Amino acid sequence: MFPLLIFEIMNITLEFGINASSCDAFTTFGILLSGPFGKPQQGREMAKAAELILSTKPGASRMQSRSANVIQGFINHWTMPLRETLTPLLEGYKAGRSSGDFESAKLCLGFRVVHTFHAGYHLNTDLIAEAINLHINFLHPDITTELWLQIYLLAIKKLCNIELEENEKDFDGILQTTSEGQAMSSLTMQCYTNTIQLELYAFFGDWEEATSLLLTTSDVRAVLQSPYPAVRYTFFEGLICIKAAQSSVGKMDSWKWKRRALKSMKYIRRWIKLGNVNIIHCLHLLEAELTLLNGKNEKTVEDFYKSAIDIAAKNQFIQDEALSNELASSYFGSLNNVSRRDYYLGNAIRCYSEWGATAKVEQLNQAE
Amino acid sequence: MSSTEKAVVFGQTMAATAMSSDERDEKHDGTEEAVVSTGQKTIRAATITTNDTQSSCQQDSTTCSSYTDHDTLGLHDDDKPNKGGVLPDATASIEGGVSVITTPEFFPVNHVKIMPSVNEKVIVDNVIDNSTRSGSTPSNSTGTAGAYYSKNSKSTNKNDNNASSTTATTSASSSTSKTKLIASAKHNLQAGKSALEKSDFDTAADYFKAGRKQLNDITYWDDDEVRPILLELCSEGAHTCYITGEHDITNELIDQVLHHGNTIQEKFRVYEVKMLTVMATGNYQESLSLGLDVRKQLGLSTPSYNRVTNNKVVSTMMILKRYGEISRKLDNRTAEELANLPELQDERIIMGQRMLELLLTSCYQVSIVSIQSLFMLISIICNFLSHITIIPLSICCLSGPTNLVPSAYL
Repeated sequence: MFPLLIFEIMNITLEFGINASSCDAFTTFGILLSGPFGKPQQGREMAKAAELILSTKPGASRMQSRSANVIQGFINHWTMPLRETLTPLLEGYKAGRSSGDFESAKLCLGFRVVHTFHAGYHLNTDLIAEAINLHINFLHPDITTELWLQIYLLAIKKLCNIELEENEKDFDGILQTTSEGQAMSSLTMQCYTNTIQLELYAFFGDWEEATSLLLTTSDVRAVLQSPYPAVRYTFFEGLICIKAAQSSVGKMDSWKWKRRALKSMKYIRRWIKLGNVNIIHCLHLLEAELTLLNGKNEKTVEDFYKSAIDIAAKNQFIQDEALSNELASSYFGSLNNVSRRDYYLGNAIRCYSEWGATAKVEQLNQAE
Repeated sequence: MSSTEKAVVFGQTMAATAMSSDERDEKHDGTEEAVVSTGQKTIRAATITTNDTQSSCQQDSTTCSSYTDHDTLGLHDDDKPNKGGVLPDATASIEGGVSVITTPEFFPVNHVKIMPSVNEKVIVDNVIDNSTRSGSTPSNSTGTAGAYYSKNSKSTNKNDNNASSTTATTSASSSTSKTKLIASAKHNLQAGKSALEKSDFDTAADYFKAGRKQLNDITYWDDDEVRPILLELCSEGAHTCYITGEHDITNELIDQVLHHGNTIQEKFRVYEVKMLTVMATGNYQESLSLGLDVRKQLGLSTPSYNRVTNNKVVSTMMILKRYGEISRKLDNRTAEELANLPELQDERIIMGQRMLELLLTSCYQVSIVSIQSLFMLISIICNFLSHITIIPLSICCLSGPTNLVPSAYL
């Protein structure tokens, strides 16, 4: 019924005219276009229409926070740099607080933390601290936002090698609490958690655990559909599948993993073609790993690694720049090319340090 | 026992109300303020500060029980006017023609401060904490001029509609006419709305509460003049209390409006609040049913109403069909063209749209798993359609100018 309601509110808007509610009509229709219908540019156009109504109709200000979380959390990241969504999300949060739309304010805050984490800012950035403060000082807290933020804070702690406090929930604890509540679908929360877990396993090179989790986790892409973690999941799904294919003993196993990886890459290629600027470097990294799996020549593999590193650096995804360097180092290590291996390893350590992932830097230093 | 009284002149014309002793404002420092006005005439405000902690002042008549003799204006027989008015530190003097004794037509009380005893202070603090929250005291400067605010200073009963809280009204109420009450309630309503615009929800809630107290007579619901004000005070009050987390009061006000409201238009605002409160408890199915029912009462059809009520699943083909229709209606219009569509004027449709907003939230939560499955199915179908070169005519017909076949997930 959800899509039918969207069509209904949209239909009335087109038939009878616009008002504040039309913001919801355009933005929710934008979600459908950006996600399931795969037309992010048209989704962006709907979001723009809502933004125009918000800026020109004084009576529509009550929709500011609600529209901000939908536009930035579900629509804009498909066609805009992730970092550009942060300021509007903060504004949306503030608008929600002042208008009394606390639900939307909390969603804005949640998406801001999610996007800040994925956008490659230093893990100890003030942006995260600011979001935590805003959440703590919010007089209308709720368990959903609390758990949502905890997922990302936990990931930061693990990457920064910060000990968990006594009674602090780990991922399992978060999921258990979520399943007991009903504020946000436990399935949705599970998808957010699993995406982060997959990312952590990949960063720490724990490919076996990553593979096991990938086999048991729900189809995050199907569940989340439009938010950025669905995109992120697709990238790590591809990477983990290629790694699993590389380490598979049987040909059939390898073929199955490769097929799944190709499917992920297909999505990513299409999204890039439709204007997604946040995953171009991811595709190059997947291409490098796939080329390696296919046994192509050294030059081609390094070219893909290099372009992944360059694009990640250009788009300020420092964590992916680090990962690309690390995987390149690993590749040259397997070829016994020590100079190339050390060159990329040095770069990986530098990038992880810049990102603030102390635990990962320690891991690489120990391996070195 | 020592006491002082101050007379202050406000050189402004304000609308009128009288206020009972239980409607005094309370502050954390233990002082209490009350605002009382006369009719359309210049107000003379008096501030009383009583240091005697056991005195029980009835500021509307400026009478303290500790005094035995006083006149009708609440002045004590032994009070002598001197320079500066009744009180030594009054801001205007007798020479200025301002004295409640020399100019008795002036209504004296406007501002009362009472220092309560230690024991009383505890009670007062409890009342503030429980029923109004600290720092929420509105002042005249917060609202528009003439906005009146009052609060029960002694009762610990949180129920602002409890008749007992108003039975303690004193002799000032005798000078209060219905017109004055209405005017004052209107001012409180406006002041509440102003506070809402400033995101001062606690203050707004207090203004609405004060307004409701002034119209705290059940017969007013049948009064055509008072009824709209009461409806608005209760409806806006319900929404504000929802925001401030006073759920008991919210529900009480919702019930009041639903009980006394005659039309769906009158009840609409609290239906919105009711949906929000139901959603806040996680009962999205009930919220969904309520929203659908309101739309029905508005005379608006809702897609798949029967399917929802009968718990039937909406088919993917139906979704694609509707998507095609909307795509055709969109007609490739740009964002600017869409934002410049004529403004919706029909109040009934506007209400229906607002219901749809809330329904979208509820529906998303109710059927999140089925939505996700459905979206996945749509994606798969779209993926399939994009791979076949000859699309069946029936499906082509669904496609509008924006082309039905989604191009992602290829």
